[in-house]
Amino acid sequence: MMTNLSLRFGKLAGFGLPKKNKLARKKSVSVDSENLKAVGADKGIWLHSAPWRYWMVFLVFGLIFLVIGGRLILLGVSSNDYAGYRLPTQGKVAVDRPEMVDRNGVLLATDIRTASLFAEPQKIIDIDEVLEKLAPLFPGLDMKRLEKRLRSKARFAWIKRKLTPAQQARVYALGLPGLSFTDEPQRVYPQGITAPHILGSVNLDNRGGSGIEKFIDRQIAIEGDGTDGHYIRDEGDGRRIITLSVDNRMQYLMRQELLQAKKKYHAIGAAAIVMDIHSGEVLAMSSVPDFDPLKPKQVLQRKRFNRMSRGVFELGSVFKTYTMALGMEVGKASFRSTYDVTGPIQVGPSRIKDFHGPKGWLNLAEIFTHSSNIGCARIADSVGIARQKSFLKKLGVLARLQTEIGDVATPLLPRRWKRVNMMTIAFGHGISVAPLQFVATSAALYNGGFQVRPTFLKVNKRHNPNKTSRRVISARTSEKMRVLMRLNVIKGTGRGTNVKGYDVGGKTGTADKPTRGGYGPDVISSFISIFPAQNPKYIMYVMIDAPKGIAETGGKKYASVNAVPMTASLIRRLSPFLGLQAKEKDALWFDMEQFADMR
Amino acid sequence: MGKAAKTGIAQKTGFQLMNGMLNIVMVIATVIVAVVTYQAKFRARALELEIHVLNQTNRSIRNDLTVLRAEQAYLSRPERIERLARKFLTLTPNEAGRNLTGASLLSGREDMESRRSAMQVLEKMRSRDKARVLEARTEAQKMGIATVLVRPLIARKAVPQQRAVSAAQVMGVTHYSRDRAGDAQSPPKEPLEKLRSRPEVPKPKWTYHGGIGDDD
Repeated sequence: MMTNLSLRFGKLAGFGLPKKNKLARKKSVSVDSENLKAVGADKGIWLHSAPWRYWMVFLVFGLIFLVIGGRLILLGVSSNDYAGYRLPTQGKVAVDRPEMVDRNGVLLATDIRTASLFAEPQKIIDIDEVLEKLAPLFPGLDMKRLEKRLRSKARFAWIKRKLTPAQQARVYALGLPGLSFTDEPQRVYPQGITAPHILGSVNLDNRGGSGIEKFIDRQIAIEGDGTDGHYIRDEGDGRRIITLSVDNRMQYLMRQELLQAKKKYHAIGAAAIVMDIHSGEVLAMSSVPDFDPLKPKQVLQRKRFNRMSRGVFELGSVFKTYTMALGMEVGKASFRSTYDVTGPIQVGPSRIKDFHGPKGWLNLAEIFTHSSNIGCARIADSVGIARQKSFLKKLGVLARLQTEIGDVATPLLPRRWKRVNMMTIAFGHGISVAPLQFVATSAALYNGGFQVRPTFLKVNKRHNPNKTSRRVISARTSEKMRVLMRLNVIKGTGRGTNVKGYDVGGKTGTADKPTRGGYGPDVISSFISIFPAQNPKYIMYVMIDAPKGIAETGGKKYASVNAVPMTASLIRRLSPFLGLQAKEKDALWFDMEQFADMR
Repeated sequence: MGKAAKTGIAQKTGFQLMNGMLNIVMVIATVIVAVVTYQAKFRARALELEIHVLNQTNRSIRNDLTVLRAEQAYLSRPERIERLARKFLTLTPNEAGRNLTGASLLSGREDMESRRSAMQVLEKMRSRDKARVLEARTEAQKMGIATVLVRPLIARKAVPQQRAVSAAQVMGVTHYSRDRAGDAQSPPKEPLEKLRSRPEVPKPKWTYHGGIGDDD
C-alpha cells in the first residue's frame, strides 16, 4: 500500500512517469528478472522496476521538505528564543538608562519619558496660526527663529524638547495639524543635588558625560551582578538598577556641612570623603562648589571640579603618616627613637624649618603630635631615597588610580627624586596627589596593612574589589600607626576631634598652596581621621581649599582651627548612619605610660 | 509476459477504486487542514494583537511607575524632609550617640528590623500624643474653647487618609496637595488655575530647569 501511495504521488507530481515506467519495467525485468523471481514479489514489481533517478528525485525533495518542516516546527515550539524577532517592540523601551540607587535602595537617578514637540513644516496649513497659538505656551521660545525654520523647506523641525505633561496636553488641545510629539527619555535626579560628582551628568541625548553616568554607558547593554565586571542588575520587572556605595542621607549631610564650612571660612572650596577602611566603599564623598546635573553650563565650569579626584594638591602634614609608617616598617624608627629638631636643616639652597612646637630632641610620637617638619625630614633621611620611593610605590601613591567615576588625576612627582625632594615629601610638599588617592592608599596604614581599592559601587558577595587585596605593610606597623593617630587626638593637633565615645584618631595637615614660582599665602588645610581607632571601620578626610582666618579662629587658618572642628561636626552628624554606637567612655586600649613624659 | 499483463489489469482496477477513495479522502483532508490552518492563523493574529496591547499597557504602566517612584523619591529627598521637619517638628539635628533606627523609615529603606522598630517608636509617640491631646482637650473645654481641630487626631476609627489630612490641618498645612506640598523654594511655574485645569497625569516638575529644552 505504501509503495502504491508513493507511486501515486509520483504520478500526481507530474514527472511523466507512466510512459517511462513501461520502458523501464521491460528493461529492469530483463535485467533483474532472476532476482525478482527469487524474491517472489510480483505485487511490488512497480516498485522494483522504477528507475533510480525517480527515487533520487523523490528522496532529495523529501529531505528538503523534511528540513523545512522540521525548522518550522522548531521555530514554533521554541517561541522564547525567537519571540523578539517575530514581534519587535514598537518604539523605544520605556527606560533606556538603568536607575541608580544608593546603598539603601533610595532612588538617585532614573529616566522618565517626556514628550518632545516637533513640526513637519510641509504639513502645516497656516504657519501664522501655529506661531500665534504656540507663543503664549512657550514664553522662552525664540519665535523669529522658529518662523524661519517653519517657512523653510525642511521636513522636520524641533519646536521644543522635553515638555511637561501639562504643556503637552495644551498643545494637543490646540489641534494644529503638522505638529507631532515624540517620546524622549529624560534623566532626572529626584534627590536634588546631593552627589553630582559621583553620579555625573548626561547630555541632551541622554548619554553619560561624567561620573557613574559615563561608567554606565560602557556597560549599558550587559547585565550582571558584578562578578564579571558588569554591575547593572535586572530586577525582572523591567527595572534595571545599579547600586552605588554611597548613602544618600550622609551625602546630603556632608554636602551641607561643606557648604557651611566654605561660607564660614570664606574658602574657595571644600571637600570630604568617608570610606569603609576595609571594603573601600565610598559612603559619602562631596566637593563644593558642585553643579546641578541638569544645568549643562555648570557641569563644565572649572571652579566646580571634583577636588577629591580631579585635582592634585600638595597635601602637607597629613603626608607625615606615610613617613611614620615608612620609618617603622623598615625598622629605622620606633616609639623610642629620638631626633634632633633644634635647628633648620639646610639642603642645598633649601631650608627646612618648623614654625611651631618645641625645639631640641623629640621622640617619634612627639614629632607626630607636634607635626615637626624637621623631625620627618630626619626620619626620611635615615631611611633613604630608594626605600621611601619604593614604599610609596607599594602603597600605590605614585601610580594613576582608576575608579568607576573616572581616572583620578595623576600624581605630580618630582622630576628627579633627590635628597631635598625626599625630605620635603616626608612632610607632604614637592609631591601632589589627589585627595581620593591619598585616602585610599592611607587606608592600608590603619586597617592592618592591606591595600584598598576605592569603589563607588556597593560591595557584595560577588562584587568585592578588595577580596584578594595584598598586604603592603605589616600588622605591627599598622597597629602602631593607630596608636599614633589616637595619641594625636588625645594630646596633639587633633584634639578638637575627640568626639566622646567614638575613639577618633587623626592627623592635621596645613599645606601652603603653590603659586607661580613659590608658595603663596593660601593654604590647603585638611584632616585625615580614622574611627574607632582601636579597630578602625571608617576613614574620613576633610579638606578646605584656601580658608581665611576669621574671628572665631583668632585669625588663624591652620587645619587645627578649621578642618578639625569640621571633622568633629561631621563625625557627630554622620555617625548615627554609620551604625556606630557611641561608647559610654573612651577606654584607652594601649599603654599610655610609655607616652607619659611627652612634651 | 502475458501473465504479468493480466495481473497488471486486475491490479489497475483495484487501483482505480482505491484512487477514487483516496481522492475523496485527500480532498476532505485538504479542506480540514486548510480550515484548521486559517483558524490557527487568525487565532495567532488575534493573540499578536493581544500581546501588542498588553505590551503597550505594560509599557505605560511601567512608565507611570517610574514617574511615581521618581516622585516619591523627590518628595522624600533629605533636603525637603529637613525643611519640613524644621517647620513642623520639634526635632534637633542628629548628634553623635543617638541611634537612628527610626530615621531609616524616612529614607525608604527596606529594612524590616529598622522598620519594625520605627513603627514601635511611632506607636509610642502616637499613644503619648493621644494622652496629650486628651489633656489639652479637657483643658480647652474647661476654658470653654471648642476643640474641633484636635478631634480628628484621636478619632481612631477614621480612615487613615482622613487622619493624615486632619493631621496636616493640625500642623497648619491647609492644602494636602502634591503641587504645593510646602515647596517654598520652587513654587509652581504656572499659575494655579492652569494647574487646576491640567489633565490627570503625574507632573514631574523637577525635570524642568529653565530653558534646557530650548536647544535643537
